[in-house]
Amino acid sequence: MKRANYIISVLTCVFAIAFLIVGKKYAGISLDGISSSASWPNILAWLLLGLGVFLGVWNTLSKNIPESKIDFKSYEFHNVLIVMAAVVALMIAYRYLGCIIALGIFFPLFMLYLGERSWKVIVIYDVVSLTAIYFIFEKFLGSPLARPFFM
Amino acid sequence: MDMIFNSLAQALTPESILVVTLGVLAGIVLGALPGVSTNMAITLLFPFAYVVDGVPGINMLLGVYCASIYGGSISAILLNTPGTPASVATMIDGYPMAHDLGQPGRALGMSTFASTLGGLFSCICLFFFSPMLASVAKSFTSLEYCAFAFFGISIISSLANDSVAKGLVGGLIGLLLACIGVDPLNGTIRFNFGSRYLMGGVSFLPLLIGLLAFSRVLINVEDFFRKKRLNEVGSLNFNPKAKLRVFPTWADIKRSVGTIIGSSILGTIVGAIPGTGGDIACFLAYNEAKRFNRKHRDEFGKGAIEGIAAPEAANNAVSGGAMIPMLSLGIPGDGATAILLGAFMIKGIAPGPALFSSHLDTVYQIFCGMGLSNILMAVLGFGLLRIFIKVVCIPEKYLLPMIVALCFIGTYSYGHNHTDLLVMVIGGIIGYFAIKHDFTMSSVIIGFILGPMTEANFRRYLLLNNGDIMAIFDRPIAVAFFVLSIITIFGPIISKQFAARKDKKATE
Repeated sequence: MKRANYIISVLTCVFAIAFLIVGKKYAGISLDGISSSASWPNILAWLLLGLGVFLGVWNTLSKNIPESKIDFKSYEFHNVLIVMAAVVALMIAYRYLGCIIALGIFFPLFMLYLGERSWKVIVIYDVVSLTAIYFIFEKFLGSPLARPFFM
Repeated sequence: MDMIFNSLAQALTPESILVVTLGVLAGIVLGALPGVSTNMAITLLFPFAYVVDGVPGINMLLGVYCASIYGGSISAILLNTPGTPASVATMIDGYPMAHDLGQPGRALGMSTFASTLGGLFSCICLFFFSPMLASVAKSFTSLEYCAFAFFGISIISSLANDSVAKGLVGGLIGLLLACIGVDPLNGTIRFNFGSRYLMGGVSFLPLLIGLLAFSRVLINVEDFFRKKRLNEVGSLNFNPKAKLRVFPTWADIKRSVGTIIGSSILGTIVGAIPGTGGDIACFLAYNEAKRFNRKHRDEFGKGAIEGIAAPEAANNAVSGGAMIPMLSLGIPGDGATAILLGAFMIKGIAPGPALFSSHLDTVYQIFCGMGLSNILMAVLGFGLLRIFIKVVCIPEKYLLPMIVALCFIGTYSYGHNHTDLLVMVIGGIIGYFAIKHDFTMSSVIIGFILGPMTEANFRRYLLLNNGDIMAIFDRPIAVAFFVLSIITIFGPIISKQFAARKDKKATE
């Protein structure tokens, strides 16, 4: 995990520095002359910067850093990446095709991917789930679902 | 007294009972599923509660909270896999009783009985102690509130998994994310990085669902494919069609009633201490039950009924205990109560002493909701146990698509905004990598929820004292809480160092 810890340390410092730089813009905005809009974020950003540096130094000095819990070459991780990509695709489809159509396509594909081979089960699952979602959210809770672009 | 009866009447309307019943039902089901924690269960059902108007929505989430802790015991007893971390100690005797002694019904019945009594006991404590604590806190100023919020934030150190530093980094990131949007004192829009979406701040629910629910989905996907590669198949250790006596026998009740009472007291106390939780309470109660039980001590680990009663009473008692500082001071006791605190705020209810003075009816409705949740937990637990046993065996290939769908629909229902979905997905992906590298997502959420309260009170205090930070020493309660916070932050680091030294000495 040593390499990952260095990356985390750098990202932490970058995040803190970004807040410190942007915070300069708000340092003069104050109603009372005592604390500005940037005072509190600045305190936090300095603390975060200190912790980021500490994490880097500790990582260098420490000898007992455990192995990373992610094996980037493993079969499992590749599948996680594929699911991440599928979810990003679902997000795009959700925007343009709306909830029911996007999930109507996503459910069968995801179930097939996870190893379900019975089309009967897939179709029943798809229909029952979407009907339940529609009635619970649209009718029972009154919370509108995302509509497709053509509606 | 009139107010109590009025609140009781409001909390017991058919609509309210229906909503809480659904919450309890969903809580038991989700809690029973291995890989779905209490935090994830509350997060997944948050959007439903958001749509339900007023206090019933909050009571629904309280139902999910109480029931999911209990639900965790079902898979712990039947599959030797805890549904939630709070059920780990239940496995020690629950699984041997179900598997080796062939008495799954006895184990599940005692788990339901002890969970209900533990939950109800903590609920009574909540009813008596939180108004007392709130009345003490009435005289507090912005400095004390700042100290409370700081103390609440300090528990992230105890929630951190293996690295306290990473827990603190997560908490600070949460605090900084909370700074995006409108300045709580002068209304300036800040740190929006030119984005119109960020002008109102980072949306709470999409962040919550992303970090706590979607990240877990990705971890579950990883586990699913690992099990598939290794051909690991979880199975029930008894025939679900076999006759099952779900009510505990009189002999079992007599044998374990002392253990249940003791564990309920212990669980409530542990729950009231911020930074602890059901996982700590269940082990403490188990150890104490074993220590005090001279007659059946040899049975522990082999299927002792007290070994199930103790952790189950304690972990459910944590729910009411953790609500005491949350309701009366606004300090969340653990990740789950932090999410509940967020839910309260979204619903326009600000926990703290002011809630007890200005909205006492709401407080009593919440108490009633909590009590009702525990009673319904018993009714559904005893009545539908056979169905819950079947739910435990639902394959992940059917569950994962539905959880992804709930993440999407829940996020969208919050603001009907597609950018929220982007926040949720990005939060989930970052959350997955962060959890894999020893970060705790609860710390980010606690920082995010308590950030505005800490900042507003800190700056108000500076304003009232003309920037004199040393005036802190005029307020002993605030000083005590700041000192306590520092101890809470550095305590786990120091105790880890001591443990490492002890191990080193032992190996030498």
